[in-house]
Amino acid sequence: MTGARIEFEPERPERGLTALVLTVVELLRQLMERQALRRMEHGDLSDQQVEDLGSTLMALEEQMEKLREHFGLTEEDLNLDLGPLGSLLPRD
Amino acid sequence: MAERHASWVYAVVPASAPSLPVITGVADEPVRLVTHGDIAAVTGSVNAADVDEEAWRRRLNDLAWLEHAARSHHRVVARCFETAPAVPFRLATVYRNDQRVADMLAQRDRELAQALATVARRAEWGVQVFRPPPQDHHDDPSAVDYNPARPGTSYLMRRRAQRSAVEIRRRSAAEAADEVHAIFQQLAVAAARTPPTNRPAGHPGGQEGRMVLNAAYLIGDDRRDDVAAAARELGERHPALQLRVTGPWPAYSFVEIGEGVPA
Repeated sequence: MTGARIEFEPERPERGLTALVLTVVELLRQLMERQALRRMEHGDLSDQQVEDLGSTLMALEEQMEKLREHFGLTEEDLNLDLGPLGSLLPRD
Repeated sequence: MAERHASWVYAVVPASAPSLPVITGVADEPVRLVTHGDIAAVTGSVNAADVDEEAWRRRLNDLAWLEHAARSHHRVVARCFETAPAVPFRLATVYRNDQRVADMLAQRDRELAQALATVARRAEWGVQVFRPPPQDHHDDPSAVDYNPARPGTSYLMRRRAQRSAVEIRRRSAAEAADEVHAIFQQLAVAAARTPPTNRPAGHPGGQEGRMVLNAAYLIGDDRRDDVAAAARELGERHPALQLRVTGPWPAYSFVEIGEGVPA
């Protein structure tokens, strides 16, 4: 009946908390990326600014992947099901 | 202490319906007909203490019991539907006794006769359309040139290409869903489109793809071949989508009746 839930396993309480923190970080990263793409499409960024933003976002994504791997979490684990509102992060 | 009984109603059928199939209900009780004029309620006796309001509140949290009840309820409704027009009653429509059931039939007999006319020689078909899960975007080259001198820019370009590919896929799936709906609507006398339900894969009712159409159609029994043909044709026209057609079902989405609380 319920969707993806962050489970606070009694023996590993930090896992649920980590998932929650990483979820918020991933949400922010995706919002920044969308904003960067929008500004790039509007042409209000210099080539150098595009390059810098792109490198930063790419590095953040790599970091996120490493953290997920380290904590044994999948992309789907970081996606909260908000019921009728859909999921927190776009599923695809 | 004598057990008090209440009357659980499964469905309403024409009183002239062929004899009731031998079948038991939610409490493994034999079901019988309570008749008023031309219509009859398919009814079973259940322990009144099991279905009073307090027991209900408790049982709504008892998933195993709810599943058993829903399956048994559906089994009775489905057997009625196989032999005669049947207006399904909502799960747990319970009356104090058979007299109350007869009163309900008397009060609502016009509405029920009309509902019976609506479902006669027709059945409900469920149609769901799923679009496939996305491929892993990390190994998607996306035909964007990689410029080693500008890795950050290349990254953003790739992400932009991915996003627009996703957008195109989403839009074409939505268009296909509308097309499927339009085609089944032409076959149907009534249609009910409900918001897609998406549960993550691996969860109860979960699936791999994204649901883009969730609909039910009330279709005449003489068009069953058309239903099969439409399903086949749409499946061939949209090989990337998963089309799920289920039925024939009792017309739950079109004429289901019931109070849901003891009456």
